[in-house]
Amino acid sequence: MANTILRTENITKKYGETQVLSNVSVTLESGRIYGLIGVNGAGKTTFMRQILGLSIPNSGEIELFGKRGKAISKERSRLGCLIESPGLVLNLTAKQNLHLHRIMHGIADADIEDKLLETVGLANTGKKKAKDFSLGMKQRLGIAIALLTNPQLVILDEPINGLDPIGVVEIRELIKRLCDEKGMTILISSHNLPELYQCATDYIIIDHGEIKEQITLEELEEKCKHYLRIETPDTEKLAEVLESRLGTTNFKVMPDGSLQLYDFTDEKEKVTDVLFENGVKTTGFSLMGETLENYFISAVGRK
Amino acid sequence: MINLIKADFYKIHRSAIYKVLFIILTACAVTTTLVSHFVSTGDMSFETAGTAALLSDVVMMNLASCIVAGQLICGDFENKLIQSALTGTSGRFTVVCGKMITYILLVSVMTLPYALSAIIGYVMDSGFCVPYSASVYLKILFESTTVDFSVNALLKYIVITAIMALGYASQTVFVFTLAFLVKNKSLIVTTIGFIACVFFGMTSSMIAGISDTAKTMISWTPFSPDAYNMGNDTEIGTMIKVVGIALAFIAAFTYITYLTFRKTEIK
Repeated sequence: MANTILRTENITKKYGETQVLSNVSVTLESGRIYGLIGVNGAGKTTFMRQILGLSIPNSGEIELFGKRGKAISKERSRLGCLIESPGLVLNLTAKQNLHLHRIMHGIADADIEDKLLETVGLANTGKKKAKDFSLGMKQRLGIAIALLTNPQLVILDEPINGLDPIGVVEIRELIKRLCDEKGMTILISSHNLPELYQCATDYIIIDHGEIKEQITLEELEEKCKHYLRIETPDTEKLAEVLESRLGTTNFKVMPDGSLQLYDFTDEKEKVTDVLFENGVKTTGFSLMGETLENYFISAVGRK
Repeated sequence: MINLIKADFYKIHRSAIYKVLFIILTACAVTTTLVSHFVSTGDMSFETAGTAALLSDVVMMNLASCIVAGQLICGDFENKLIQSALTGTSGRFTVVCGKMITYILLVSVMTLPYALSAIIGYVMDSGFCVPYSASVYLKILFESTTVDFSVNALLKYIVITAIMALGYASQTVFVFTLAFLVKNKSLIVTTIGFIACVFFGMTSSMIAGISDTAKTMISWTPFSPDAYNMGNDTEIGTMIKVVGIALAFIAAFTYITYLTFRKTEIK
């Protein structure tokens, strides 16, 4: 049975007059990979920073491993994170950096350093110092540091930034493996939707600091199937006609005012006839096969 | 907290800047001791010796403390180690306390060249004087000519050098708070901190000269003449007072730092 790892309730964050997060409420359950999707500046990093205690919300509450208030400080030792860029001492080698973080977290097992370097593909870096690492190598080392404490919740902010295509695949497989084999819960942010689609089990769509939708992979796949997109000045009447005349409620009114009908995708003429007969004026009518990108764009209310 | 301190010392052990700083302080301590000796023997005039005053512990320890604060705290903000420290410990107060302990220990280590020079000079009894005032270490050197060598006296001087290490940490402790405020700009911390340290050092003696009330007030700060004038004739009560004031200042600034850091955004 899945346990709730993290629950945020109406988290709000303002910088001056700029509202960065608005009433963000999210629930993460154990053993799942959550993809936090949003455009640049949507509030992904800010949200992650609230969870990690790097920034304090103006209002709202965070519950971490069932604890609230000041008690969550201690629970944060069960988190691993990589926010934007990793915390590295540049004049140290990869192993020395891991050693430093191992001391900091009081981990006795010295073998874990080599194991993690092997896991992230940095076992052969030897005496090369972190300052001489490529961006991708630094990201890999950052992921290794995030995994050092064998955390129950791993928070990764754009972890594939700077990685080459092979590195992207390796990290994706690593994330899946951590979830499957160790039961870790992973919150991973990205604006690379196809990439997230290949590893996430759940999606949290954020835009302008608001959570637009939290959806499972199954639900997303269901929603990304073909549908009829109908545009009309009177959406209310359209919905009423679909329900009363075609007997379907398998449609969704989108934030932009259009309607997506998931039934009758092979009977377009029948739909147009019924709409015409019932006086529903349509300004747009098309068969769509929604991609993840389209779904995201619809969810955030942008055309 | 102990893990944070251990991690800091691992990082310090691998860093060149602290080693270079220690070597510079050692060179300054040796130079100061030699100047004290040569002025005493008449091989160097007081005027010439005055130019070497910049190498004395009073100036150099202020500078070293500011550099240490800048590197120890701003460095962690710069390379984002502070994020790991926060998520790996029991909160911000623990981080501040851990850093403060590391800071005091580091400043104490940095005073070692002066302390050792003074103790070795005292044991050698080669003739020393005090070419410039307000240095406990020079006073110990000078007392090698006036106080007969004994184990008790030696132990007392060792205790005095340890107290003075704490004294320097408390005098410059505001730089620690400044570093948490400024975050990742170590150069600013070092520059402003050093100027402020020199300013406080100078004005404290000026203020103390205004009236008896002002003198009493200053005597309850780490800039008290009691701290600078410790020697073989210093009473235990005075030493305890110096230690108490230093610890009180350190505790107060630890709490002030926590208050400033409690809700700080960590980039």
